[in-house]
Amino acid sequence: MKIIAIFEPVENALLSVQYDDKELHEWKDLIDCWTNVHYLRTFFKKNERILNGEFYGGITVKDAVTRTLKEAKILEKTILELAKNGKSDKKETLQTIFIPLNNNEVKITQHQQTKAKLPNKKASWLRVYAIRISENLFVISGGGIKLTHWMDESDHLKIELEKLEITKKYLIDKDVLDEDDYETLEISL
Amino acid sequence: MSVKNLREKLNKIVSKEQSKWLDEAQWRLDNETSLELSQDVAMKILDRLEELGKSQKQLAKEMKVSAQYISKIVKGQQNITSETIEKFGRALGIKLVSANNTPSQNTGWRAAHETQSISIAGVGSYIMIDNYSYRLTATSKQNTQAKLIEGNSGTIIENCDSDCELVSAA
Repeated sequence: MKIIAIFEPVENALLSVQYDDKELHEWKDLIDCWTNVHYLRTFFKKNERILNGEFYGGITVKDAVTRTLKEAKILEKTILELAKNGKSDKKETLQTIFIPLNNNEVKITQHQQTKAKLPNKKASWLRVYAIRISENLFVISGGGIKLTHWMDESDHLKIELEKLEITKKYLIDKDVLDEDDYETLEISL
Repeated sequence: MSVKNLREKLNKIVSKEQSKWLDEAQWRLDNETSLELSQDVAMKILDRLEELGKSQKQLAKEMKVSAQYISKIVKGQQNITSETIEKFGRALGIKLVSANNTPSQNTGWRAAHETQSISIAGVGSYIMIDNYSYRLTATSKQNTQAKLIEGNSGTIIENCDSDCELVSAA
């Protein structure tokens, strides 16, 4: 898998990579999947065993699709608003939604691997993965529907870990980093 | 690194080609209600196909439409007209929408275009005329004006006082 282009859905705020095996950049592709009833129904049918497991307690495929469509709508709107507002309002930046990928990380670091999910929603399962360049500048590497506790428990999320690494390496190779921003912010737990 | 330097470096790697996501996101926001209907219909079509053990290809053949058209409808990503819903309902032998979420409501506008295409839709909902999506708007039931607003841009392209009439007031 190779990055063939970087798009800028929101200028000076939100960037997204495109890989050589995809026709769309990752952010557009994610939204396309998460608003596609046929795609979602197929995905949840394939993962019905997990939905019927102890954690989800037998949520139906139909309810899972409905919930995802609703969540995607809010997530897309939230990211759009934060990306725009974050240019002028330092309290409302993308950093308020993108948190470190590793829950044990308390510091903001350069080229940090991050994830975005719906704020204040414990049960949300949509994830957007990105590399942080600065407070309101993130490069989306991919995303997915996280039904398992750990990313490496799902094949489709294992790939997302690889994509994060590929994107991080690409940005380091291109020397795109903000040294002034390096380890200057901390996240409160 | 200064912001200027960072921007310069980004400029070297960012594609000159525009991402169309912003326009599409805005379109989804503007069409929120009608998209929910399209999604609901798509889900019901897929459930019914599974129940009947029928493929999308078979349905396309029966309805004398292309498989691509069926594939588009079951994604639920575009506005859908009441005519299309009825057509799919007939082909699948089920009612795809309940009375309270059909585009036609007790209070509605009848919009007739010069091409004689006629659609009935509730105020605030979307209608299709000549393959374009329009939103019908009005401020109150006393106001007999309706506007045709192009679905994608939100631009008012036609005031249709003379072409629209109040069907009935609730």
